[in-house]
Amino acid sequence: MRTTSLIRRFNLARFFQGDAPSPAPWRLNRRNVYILPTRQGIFFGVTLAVILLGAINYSNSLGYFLTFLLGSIALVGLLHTYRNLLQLQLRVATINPAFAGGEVSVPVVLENPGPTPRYRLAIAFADQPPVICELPPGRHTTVTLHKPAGMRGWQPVGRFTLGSTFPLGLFRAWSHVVPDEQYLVYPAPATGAGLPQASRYMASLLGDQGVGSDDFAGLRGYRGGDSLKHIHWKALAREQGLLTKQFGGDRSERLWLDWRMLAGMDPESRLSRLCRWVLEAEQQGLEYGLWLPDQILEPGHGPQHRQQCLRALALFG
Amino acid sequence: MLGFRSLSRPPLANGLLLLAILLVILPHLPHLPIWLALAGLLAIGWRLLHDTGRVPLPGRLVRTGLVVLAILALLATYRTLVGREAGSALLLLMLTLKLFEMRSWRDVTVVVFLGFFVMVTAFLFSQSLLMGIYTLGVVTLLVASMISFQLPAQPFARQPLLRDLRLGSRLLLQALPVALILFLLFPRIPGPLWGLPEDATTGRTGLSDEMAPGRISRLADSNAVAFRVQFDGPVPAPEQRYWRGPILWQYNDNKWQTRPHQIRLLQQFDLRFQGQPVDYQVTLEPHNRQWLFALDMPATLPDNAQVNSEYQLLARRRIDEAYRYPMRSYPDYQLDPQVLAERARYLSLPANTSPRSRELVAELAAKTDSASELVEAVLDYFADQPFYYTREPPLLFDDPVDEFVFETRRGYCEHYASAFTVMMRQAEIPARVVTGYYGGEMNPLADYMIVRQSNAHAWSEVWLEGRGWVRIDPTSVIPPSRVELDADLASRQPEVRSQLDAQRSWLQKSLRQAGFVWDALDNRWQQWVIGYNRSQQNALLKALGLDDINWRTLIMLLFIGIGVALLVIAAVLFRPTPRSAPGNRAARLYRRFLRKLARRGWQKAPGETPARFCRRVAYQQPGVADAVTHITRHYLQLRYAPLNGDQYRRHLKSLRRAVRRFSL
Repeated sequence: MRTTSLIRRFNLARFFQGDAPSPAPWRLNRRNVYILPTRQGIFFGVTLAVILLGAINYSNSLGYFLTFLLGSIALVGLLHTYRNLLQLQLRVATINPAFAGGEVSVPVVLENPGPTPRYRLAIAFADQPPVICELPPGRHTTVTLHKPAGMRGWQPVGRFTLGSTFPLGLFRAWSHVVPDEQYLVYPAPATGAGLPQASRYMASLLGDQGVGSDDFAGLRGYRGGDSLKHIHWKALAREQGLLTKQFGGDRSERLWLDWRMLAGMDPESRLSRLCRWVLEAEQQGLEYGLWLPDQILEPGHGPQHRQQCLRALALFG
Repeated sequence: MLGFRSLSRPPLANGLLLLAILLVILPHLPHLPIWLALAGLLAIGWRLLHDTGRVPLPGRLVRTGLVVLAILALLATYRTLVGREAGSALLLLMLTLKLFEMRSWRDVTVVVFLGFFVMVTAFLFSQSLLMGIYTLGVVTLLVASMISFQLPAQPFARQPLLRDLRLGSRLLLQALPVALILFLLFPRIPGPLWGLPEDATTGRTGLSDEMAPGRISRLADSNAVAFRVQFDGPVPAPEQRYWRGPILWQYNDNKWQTRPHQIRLLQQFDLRFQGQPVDYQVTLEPHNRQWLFALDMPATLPDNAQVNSEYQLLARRRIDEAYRYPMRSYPDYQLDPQVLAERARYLSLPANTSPRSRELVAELAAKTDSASELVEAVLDYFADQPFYYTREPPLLFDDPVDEFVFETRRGYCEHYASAFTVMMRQAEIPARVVTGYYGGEMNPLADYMIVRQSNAHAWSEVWLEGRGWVRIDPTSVIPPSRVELDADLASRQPEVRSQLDAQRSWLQKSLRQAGFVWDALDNRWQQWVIGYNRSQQNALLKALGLDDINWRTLIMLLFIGIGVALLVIAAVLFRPTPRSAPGNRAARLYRRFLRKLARRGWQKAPGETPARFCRRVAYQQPGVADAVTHITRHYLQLRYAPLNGDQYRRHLKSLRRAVRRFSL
């Protein structure tokens, strides 16, 4: 039973902030959808009151009727506004990590299991411009919300609001959604900090000439099993026979991004600098390792390595 | 937070709104000054051109200038900004000018709400059934344009305009029962709450409290209904249908006038009735006067009515809404047969009034012995001499009576009544002019009589010793051959009516018939909708078995009624069982397809997926392979693929078509 005690039901905090974080998916129901008149709605009410006064004063029956008709349209419109949100289901899809100081993109999957189309749904984090979407019956869609990423480390998604003023704009129904999902925030990459020169070739002495796939090292005769990609086709065209291009050992420059190199800076600045270095090194295709007081990541490269490094930085301390 | 404040220009929505505003303005056109009517239409046109991207909107300076100019022009036209005419013109002007600065959603709201205001001011001019129906249409359009402005972001309907109209009319239809409950049960507070401006209601009446024959060269034709009458017994004969109204007794400056009313008690009159009474109910259209009309001669007073010294019925306040009152009259009556109080006032004439007619009267009086014979002689004079009845008489200048009697001899009831009354006074016979209505036609489809403004009439009353006040209608002695025909005259001159009827074509006849149908509806409308007031509300509650309820109970009843209605609507709106649930339509179509196959022996095994079943059928029956694959592909898309609205619709359409055409 999804019962809500009366005290909880009329708790003002729920009204303004929504419920405590809860696991997906959220289903909008009578307990978590609120509705109030908009400014236009209040203005409309005042308009009706004035028309009603006029109708009473002039004993004008059609005036009475128009007032009542408009009032009833507003009331029925209220039901429609409410229905526009009811039964909708939401969940948050995987959130890509963000950098501190930047924005995080939160993909929200909205599903309409009901028989009616949903019009003009507005979803937004507080103080962010809303994303507007519509949902035909039985369909789902993904909208991406943005908000400032916040501090380094795991961050809760926080509260976002799904609202609608459809059809008349006189009432606004809304529901605060507080998912219990979290996203990872990497440190903000420091600006204007080039890769550390001192350590650049530190590891290059260890560079081997083993067989790898990065650097062209020479040609040799074709042996069965060699990749077709490595055949020197131009040589074949010049009738020099089948030759295989040989590649030298993986990048000889190995870079250590070392916490200790940044002595004298406060920890966050150090992390920030390291974060920039990781990004730079990855971009330049270098082989890099990360040395942190609590963790050492052996040199490597590629998206996965980069992610591991950034994650270590994000969760440091 | 959910900012709809900035209005990305949705031309369709604007078009809808402009159409609605045009329709809001239309009913006002007849009573607007021409410049304002043109300005309104111009503004709508301008805005339309702007929205289609052709012209810019006027700048702030021009707009301010326009506002100042328009207010000055309004003041020049009406000399005021309040009251019915000026007030509605002002609202209309605001609406029109607001079109020029409609930029945001808030402005749109203001325009729509002003539209509602202007709509309601139109009801001060007309509350006809037609107006009621028209209002429903306009409200639908305004609501649809509100919806349109809510949905500017890529609507997934292919025809957003139609969709908005559909949504709007659905809202309206769902709101109607609630509105009806409110209309019936909302406590009716008798107005006015504050003083009504002078021009509060349309004074559409063919009558006035003064009459100056010869000053108006054309009698206004108005088919507007003055009042309707339901008779309890037989309908009185046409020659008895004199509906008594304002009585004019002071002749000064060539015009007849009444004086401020001197209220009398019914008992102060010496009234004697003979024969059968006529009982009836009059439903009077609002005319903004106190006058009540009754058949000659009324014997009872409705509630809240009085009688003045000329025995004219008066309501205690101006009739500004439809008013229904019961009456009893006796066609056979004597009013003050013995003594005439205030005899002098019915004999007074300014010195030197109409010397030539005075001579004529003296001449006729010499030939007759009694007052009643003289009356006959004067009537004979009108009948024998070449007097004509026309609704477009020549103007009369210095002495209207002499000029009419001896020179032009063409006129309508006012001319005859006025001349006759003056001549009576010249013969020392007390006389006065009675105005009111003459005639009335029965609506053959419903049991009531319609009396129109075109039935307005004037006749005379003379006081004869022993007989009291006797009604004399000098116009009626003009033979039909000297009546200049006019279709409208039919009800005024019963004897020419049959001639007219014979001349009518079938088309005219059926139009006339349709007119009666409409009037019967309009009568119901007037009685039950426009005339719905406190007493009718009480009657309704009584019929529901609720006697004597106070307003608190009424309000409770009202809330219960609205609550129940809204609950019913909510139950329909929020019903949990989806009528055409997600994918259900697709599933239904697919099942139909399976049935078609099953008839030919192709059974889908319980565990078989649609795709596998499709391959099996396609492999064994290559002739339909394409169709089966096609259907299965659309079905699977519809059920499982993430589609947006448009794709969904397209797939569904293809699937529906393919399944319908599919045959083995």
